[in-house]
This record gives sequence, structure tokens and C-alpha cells, in this order.
Amino acid sequence: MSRLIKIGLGAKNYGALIKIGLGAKNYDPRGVVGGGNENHGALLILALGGAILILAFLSLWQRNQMIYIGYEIEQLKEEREALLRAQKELLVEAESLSAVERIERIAVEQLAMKPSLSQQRIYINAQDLLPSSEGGQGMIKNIGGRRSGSLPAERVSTGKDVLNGGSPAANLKK
Amino acid sequence: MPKRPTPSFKRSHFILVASLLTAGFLMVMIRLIMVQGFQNHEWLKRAEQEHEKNISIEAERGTIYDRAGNILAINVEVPSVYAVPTAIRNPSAVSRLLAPVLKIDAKVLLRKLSDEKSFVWLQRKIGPEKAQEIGKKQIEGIGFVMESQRFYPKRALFGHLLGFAGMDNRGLEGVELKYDSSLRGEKGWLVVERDAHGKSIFPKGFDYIAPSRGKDLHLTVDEVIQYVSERELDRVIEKTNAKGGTVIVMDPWSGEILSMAVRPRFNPNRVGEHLPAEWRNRAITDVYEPGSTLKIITASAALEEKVVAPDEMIDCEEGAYFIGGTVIHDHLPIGVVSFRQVVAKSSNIGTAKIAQRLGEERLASYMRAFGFGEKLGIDLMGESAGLVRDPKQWSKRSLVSIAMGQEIGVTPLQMAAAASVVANGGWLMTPHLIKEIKEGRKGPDILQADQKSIPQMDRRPAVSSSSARTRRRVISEGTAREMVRILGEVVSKSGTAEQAGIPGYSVAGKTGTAQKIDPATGRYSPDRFVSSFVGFAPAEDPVVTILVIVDEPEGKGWGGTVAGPVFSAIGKEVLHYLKVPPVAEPAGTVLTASLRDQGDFPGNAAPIGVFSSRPDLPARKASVGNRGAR
Repeated sequence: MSRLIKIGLGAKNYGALIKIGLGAKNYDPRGVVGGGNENHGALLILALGGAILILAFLSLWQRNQMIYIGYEIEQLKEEREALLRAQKELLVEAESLSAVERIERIAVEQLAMKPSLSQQRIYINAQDLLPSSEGGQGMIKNIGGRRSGSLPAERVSTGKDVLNGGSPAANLKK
Repeated sequence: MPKRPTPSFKRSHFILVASLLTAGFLMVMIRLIMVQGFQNHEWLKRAEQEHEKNISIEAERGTIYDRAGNILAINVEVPSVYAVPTAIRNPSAVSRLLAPVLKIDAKVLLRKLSDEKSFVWLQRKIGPEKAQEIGKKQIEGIGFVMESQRFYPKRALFGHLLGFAGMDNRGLEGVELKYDSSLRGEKGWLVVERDAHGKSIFPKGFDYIAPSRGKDLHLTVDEVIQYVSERELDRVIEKTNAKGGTVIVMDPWSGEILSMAVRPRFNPNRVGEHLPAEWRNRAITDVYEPGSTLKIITASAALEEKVVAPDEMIDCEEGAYFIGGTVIHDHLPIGVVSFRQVVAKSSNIGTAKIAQRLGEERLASYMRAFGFGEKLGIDLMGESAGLVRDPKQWSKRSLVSIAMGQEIGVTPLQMAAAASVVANGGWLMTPHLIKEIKEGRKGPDILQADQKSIPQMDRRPAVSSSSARTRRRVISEGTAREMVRILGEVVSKSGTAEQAGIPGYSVAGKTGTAQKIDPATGRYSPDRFVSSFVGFAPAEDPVVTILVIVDEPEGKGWGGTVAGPVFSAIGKEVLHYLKVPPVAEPAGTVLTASLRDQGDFPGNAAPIGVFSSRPDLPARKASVGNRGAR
């Protein structure tokens, strides 16, 4: 007896039929081959078994993926922690290197710089730097492409140094 | 054939066995109900204790910044080296290898490595260089664990003020101790399940409560001002071979401390190398006899009580005067001079006569009103109240002695705050260090690269007036203004502190040269002095109050010649740094005038001579911007 089992998605649509057979030799496209209820039971058992197998495989695959992703997350976390640690170390190093004491020592001993004298300092009225529309005198509306009102003090000093006919470096040597 | 038991025998046995089984079953049931129903919490707890392990995770300690955003204290991860003695085959060889690197005696190390424990610390929180050196040796049974350690990138700068945190990251001194609860944050927990052998089943994330990072502190101090203060203090100590010294720079309008330098030096990164006495912040804990600097209070009280007029002539008796059963002397004999000159020349005799007019009760009440004899409430531990005796305990000479700064103990902080009363128009402010406390974040600390991108303009002391903490009004604005003029004469050619002057700026202040008590004789020592100068600049619209104290300088330790030049040097650099234009400058206003007008400076919004909208705050008389136009 033919042991052909068909799982159909439509009895007439033979093309869409999936055949699962064990030594199937005959294939009758017109109907179910084999003996009635017995075959139905076997069909269900096999379908169930297949589904369990697929689910088990999916579960295993998912579990495997979870472990794999977990490892990846852990690795990235470690990388992140290492980067944060490195960033912090660099930050601390930068803080140590930017200590005023060190900067002054380098400026005086290595670069032969001297503190600026009172007469080398020029104070400018901030109101003069603002545009007249903002209540200022509008003397200097823009320096170096930035709104003068937001300029740090040293930028303005540099500007005045140039106006006085000397670069900041030249003024330092005076 | 065996005899069959009778049915009655069988039945009784069956009943007995059944009863026993039922009773046993019932007992089990009752016990089960007891355990599951009534005692379930207790047993559950026991089971959890058996199976679960709580691992505490230390929160990262908050960072401390100065007012410009420079990091003053931060936690860094450093390696700690441990050993698993059971895994070490040759402890003797390992101890010989590690001893020179760890700088531990090889015998001590061998004892640790020969222990039967499964884990021993060899040295905690070692430097990365040491760890690298040990790591290269690849010794079996030696490992590293990263631990968090407090690090002070500015080293000894701010040492006394910051204090330090211990091995367990708890604050033990200074700001670290005072704000420990804010800085420490909240511990996190990792609950792991373990098997019968105690091994973790879920090493990560079984039940995780993230630690809350500690809060960040933003202090009122400024790195540059602190550095200048410490540098100048070091210079004068070296020059005069002094025992120590203190410098305090504060904003007289808000009470913000801009710098607090104390010598002997203390580096919080190397606590073990210092004696406990060197940790002490002498600016707030130690009391000293201020000498003539206290005449600021006597003179202010006399003017406020109208017992003397500024131009009233006073006979200073040519340098010797019998009073209170003893003769008091002036360092420079003078005759009849105005009250202004009494202060300017620091005449003890003139001051004694003024004090007699004031009387004991009034002088004592002004001493207390100026903050002496009470804790000012600075946010640091260990503040001293000073020593101000009740007038009932005064001797015949006490009135005169206290008026000129003897028989009274004050802290350097109290003296700076008292001078600030005159500077700000009569208000005693609470000196403070905290500008802002910012909430910590959950999880790891990610420091932003632009965290320090504070514009240069904001590096000057620009705080909102809300940070100012007033204690009380002490003298009227008129008296304060008159005192500024009188104290200005101290720094003139006719005064005792010409060297305290700052070129281009007006200065008001007072010198102090106090003899120290000789512990051997119990009398004032003829050659041990505390030289000091306290003042503010620019005099008419002060930006900073500066106190300089030099302890036991060699030679003639006059306040005007020892501490005065230090005041001048610090004042000059600080005023330049804060972009305060000199009076002689013809230009208009300083660049940041607009910022001040927007309310970034304490009490700056009010025009000259007008009180601020907050009656409990002193009104800054003029913005820095207007100074140049005078």
C-alpha cells in the first residue's frame, strides 16, 4: 500500500502540495491514498513532530543567538568601559598638565615670557563693541567673524595690540 | 502448612499501621502548613541567604570643580594587586620578585603569600606603572582588580581646602568631609544566585540596582587666584624664613572665598607623607592674636557710636602713656594727630584713648557684631569660634589690650570677613565655598570634552547675588565709607603700609604686628611675631578682600613690610586677572561690564550708592565698568 501522505493547501492545487513520502511509488493526484483515519493520525503525529522539531530548532537557535549577542554586548561594554577609563585618564592628565604652576614655569623658564605690564593692558568699553542696534556705540561691529559682544577678552587685546603696531609676540619681547 | 492468621489479628494490625501512617502523614501536613503557611517568610529569607549573594557596588564619588570648571578632585580607576596563595608554587621566589616593585619587605610579602587563604591583598591602589611592571612578570596566582581612587590633579594646590578621601572613598577632611554625603552618592547592588559551592550562577545582571553617582561640587574658589596666593605666600615664607602663613582672598560682597592658602603645604595625593597637623586648615581652625588689624573694628565702632570724629585731634603722648596700671607704647612716637592718623600710623595710645570713650560693653558688642567669638558658618568642618571673653572677665587692661588686638583670639577667616564688612558698606557676610551642587547621573561617568569650555570672561568671579549669604548689618554705610577713606591713608606715604599699595589701584587696609606668647615664660616674646595685613581693592569699589598672615618671620616682622608687599603682589595679579581696570586708565568700562549689568555679579545691578532690591544684601556701589570713568 502506498504510504504517500499529502499535506495540501487545496486539494485541486497539486502544484502547491507538499509531499512527504516514505518509499512512495504511486502518486494519485485525485485523492488521498491509503486507509482513511489511520493515515490522518499518522499525518498529524508527523506534523506535530515536525513542528516540535522546528520549534526546538528555533528555540536553540534563539538561545544560541542570545548567548552570542550577550557576548557581543559584554565585549562592547568592556570596550566602552575601557574607552571611558582612557578618556578619564586623558582628562586627568590634561588637568594635571594645564596646572597654572606648570604653565607659568614653562612660560618663564622655557619660553622666556614675562608678565605683561600695566601699560601693556588696554581696557575697552564693552558698550563700544556692541552694535548700535543693541544699545552699544557700534564702534566695532565684528571682529574675526564673531559678534564682538561674545568675544573673549584676549581676542580684543590682540586686536588692540595690532592697532598699536605690534604683534602679541613682539609686545612680549618689549 | 503454616497457620493462617485470624481475620481479627489482620484487621487490628492493619488499623494500627494505617493509624500510624495517617498520624505521620498528618504530622507532615501540619509541618508543611506551618512552614509554607505561617513561617514561609522566615524560611524564604533563609533560603535567599543561602542561595543569593548581595554584592554592593560603590557609587562613583562626585567631581569637585573650581568656579572656572577646572577639575580639583576626581575619581580614577587604579589597579590593586592581589594574590591567590594556594595557586603560588614558590612563594619565596615570588616574594623576592615583587618586593622591590611594591616596596614591601620580602619577609612580609612571603608571610602573605604563604597564607592558606584563597585571596590576599598585596597592595591596594598602586600606580599603573607598578601594575605594568608586575604584569610583565606573568606570575601565576598574582592578579589585579581595578579600584576607584580619589585623585587631585592640582596636587598641593587647594590641599587644605579640599581635604581628602580615604581608601574606602569616604571624605576625611576639608570639603571632602563636609560634603561627603553629597559626593558619595548611593551604593548599587548586584544580587547573584550561587550554587552549593558558593559559585555564582548568574554572574551578571540577575538583579541589578545601578549605583547613583555622587553629586558634583562647584566651588567658589579659582585656580589662578589660589595659585597666585600660594606662590606669593611661599615666596615670603622663603624670604623671611617664617614658620608658616595664611592667605585668604574673598569677594566682600557675597562672602565667596576665592582662595584660601595655608602653609605648611599639604598634598592630598600623598596623605601618608604628611603629619596630621599639616592637614589642618589653619585659616579656619587656628586662632591668633590679630594685633593692630583689629583696630579696624575699634575705629569703626568709635565712628558708628560717634565717640570720635574723623578729623578730631588726639594726643598720642609722644609714644608712652600710663593706662590700666601699665605703660603702653607706640612703635613710632607721635604727638597730637587726627583720628585718621591714629589709625594710619597705628597708634596704640590713640586707640587706647578711643577705646576708653567706647567702654567695655560697647567694644565687646562690636567685636561680636563683627563676627568674633562666633562661628561664621563656612561650609568646612572644624571652624573655630575664636576666643572673645565676656567683659565681666576682663581685667583693668583688657579694654585697651583688646582694642589694639591683644587678649583676643580670632581666626584668619573672621579677620577677612570683618574687613569685608567695611569693604561692602557694613554687612557681615557668611564666607562660603560652594557655588553649586549638581545632581549625579546614574551609570558610568561620561565627562564631556566641552565641560571646561567656559568663556574667558566668565572666569572672573561672576556669581548671582542669590549666592550671597548675609549674616547682619554691623555698621552704617556712612561709617563704612569713612572707614574706607581712613584705611586708605594706611597705605599712603604717611601710613604704616606704603608697600601694600598696588600701582594703578586704590587700596584700603590695616597692618598688624602681633607679638606671640612665649610658652616658656607665658609673656609676650620680644622676637616672635605674627605679621599681617588685611585690606581690599579697589578701595572705593572693592572687588577682593585679601588677608595675609605670616607666622614668625625672621627679623623685624612688621606687618607693613612683611605682609604688605605680599598683599600688593597678590592684589595686583588678581585685579589684572579679573580685568579690573586701573583708576589711571583713560578708557571707559571693562569688557565684561555688560555681563555684570545682566546680573552676573553680586549686587551689581544697583547704581552707585543705591541699595539692591534685596534689603538683606549689600548693594555693590558701582559696577566695575564705571570705575575707569572716574
